[in-house]
Amino acid sequence: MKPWTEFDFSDVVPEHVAEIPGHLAQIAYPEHFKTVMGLFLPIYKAKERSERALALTYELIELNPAYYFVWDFRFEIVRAIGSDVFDYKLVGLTPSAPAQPETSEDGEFVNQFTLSKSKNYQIWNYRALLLDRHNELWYRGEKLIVSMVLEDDAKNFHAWSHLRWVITQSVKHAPQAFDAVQLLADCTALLLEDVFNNSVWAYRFFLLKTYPSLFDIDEELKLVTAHIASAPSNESAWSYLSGVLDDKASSTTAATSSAVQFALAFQDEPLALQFLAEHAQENVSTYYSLLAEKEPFAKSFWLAQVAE
Amino acid sequence: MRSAKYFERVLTLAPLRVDAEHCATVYFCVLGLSVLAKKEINDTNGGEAEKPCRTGEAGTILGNWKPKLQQYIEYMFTGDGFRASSSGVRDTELLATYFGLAIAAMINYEFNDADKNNISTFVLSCRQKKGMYCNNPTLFDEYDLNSSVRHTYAAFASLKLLGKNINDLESFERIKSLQNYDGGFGMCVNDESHAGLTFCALASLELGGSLSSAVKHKAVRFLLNRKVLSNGFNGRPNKDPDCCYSFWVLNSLRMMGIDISLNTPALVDSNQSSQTEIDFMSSCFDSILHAFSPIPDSDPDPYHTALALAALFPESIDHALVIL
Repeated sequence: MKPWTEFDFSDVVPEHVAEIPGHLAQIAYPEHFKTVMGLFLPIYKAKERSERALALTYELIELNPAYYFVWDFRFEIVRAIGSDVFDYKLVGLTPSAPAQPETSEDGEFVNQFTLSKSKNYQIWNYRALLLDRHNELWYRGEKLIVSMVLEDDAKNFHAWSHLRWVITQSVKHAPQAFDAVQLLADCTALLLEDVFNNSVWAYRFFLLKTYPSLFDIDEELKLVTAHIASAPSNESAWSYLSGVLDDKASSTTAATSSAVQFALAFQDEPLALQFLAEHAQENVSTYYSLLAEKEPFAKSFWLAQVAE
Repeated sequence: MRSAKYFERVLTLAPLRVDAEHCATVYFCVLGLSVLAKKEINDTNGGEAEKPCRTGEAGTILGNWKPKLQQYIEYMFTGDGFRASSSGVRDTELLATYFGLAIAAMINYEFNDADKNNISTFVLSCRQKKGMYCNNPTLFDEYDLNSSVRHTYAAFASLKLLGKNINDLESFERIKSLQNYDGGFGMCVNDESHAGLTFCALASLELGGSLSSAVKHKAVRFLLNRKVLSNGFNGRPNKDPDCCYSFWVLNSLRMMGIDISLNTPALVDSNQSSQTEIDFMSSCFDSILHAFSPIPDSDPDPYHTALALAALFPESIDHALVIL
């Protein structure tokens, strides 16, 4: 990518980066920042969508990636100046990437930025704006980059949110982009890797709701109870158990009775008591009383439930 | 408590990264100072057990900064709200508008009716199709991407500060649809629950008078399960604690009438070392800067410091600043 210093800005009257009156939380702006922001402001006001404007956004993002207006303007520019920059590319990220069109400068920048600053809010929003809704490859590319981020940070909230968003969009606009059965199988494998990863459990529930034909209450019950048996203090698994049983469209009373029977064996565990208090037909107040003993910091709340 | 000096330092000189969220940073400094100032008053008037630490320091600092805060409000005000960045473009943004209005409320800065109406018009213009709000209505929003329950909370809290009605049934329904199977709320339907977003969702419903007992009951279980260590709360199940979640969780519970007190850790007076168990909040306290970091041995910041203080001293929260 051509750096901003290689463009001619002699026609631009730079703006002075103002100091806050009273110097409240004053920032000692570095000279370099003042120069770049000073050029950016008039170009932004003039809505100049050009290569040199793009180069300035790149420099400002390097200096401080948290300016929403810089990212938004960048998107306007990329969208306006043509498909050669706008084309989405993933080649070069990984040898296992599926065959894709050649890499563009913006695509490369976006991918490298995603991998190095995956907790930045703006980058995920920017990726979502770029999505070509009717291109299956694009959806798979997004899933690929999400998995690359999750390799380093398996609970990255932004990455998981993005994946869910991408899948939701694909259902509407490119239903062939993903194989739902494969997505669920991959999710099962992720649970075996780390059964305490709440993001994976939430993702599993999302998959069942997005592709209702995948939702087999008996299969889910079998899977989640096996995971609870191996790690009874896992909040994510207990919540998931409640989640699938409370889903009116797919659950059955037989499934709930069987889960309650299962949970009776774990009464030392507050999470099991919470589950029983909400799902058992009998002894509900006993479970709340036991919770009041086991979780003294919330004693008054649990005791109030006994009274109800 | 010496954290007042920390906030004063940030109000004097801030690092470059603060520029993109300048209004937010000033807000958290003012919030922290106001908690400390109110605590000083409470301690002096009624606190028997607790020794008042340097009575009046936070209150004095806050008083000294008021004229500058007033100038600041006038500088960041765009005519229909607030801008987020001090150096950047002058576009009005919703989150910055909420922070600006809260700072103004704190120092009793009055906007005239015309300004109030303009701000209110801007806030309502951030409303997207499905009833959620976005940060800046001029942005592309083909996918309804920029809107979230964070922004919706900022919109409702701003309207509340402007004395306007919040009566948006479609929005309340949309927020309720974000409640997950575990009782927490996420960014979109069937997302992963998150304690901060849960606070925003519950507070938005509460502001609209639309927080039902069914929603509350489910949310309480999620919130109670966030406690993982002594005074340590995480934002999501099976994650490590972060000291800002002590605030998001406890304040959500308090809003629903469930009071869970923290054992105020010994950090209030760093000369005391009588703690018997490792306390999470204490371990996030930097006793040189007198500020809190998100997790032990990381860098403190005004956001975590203000929220940690608000979590520790809930009776000292000024509800002009934390809108419920």
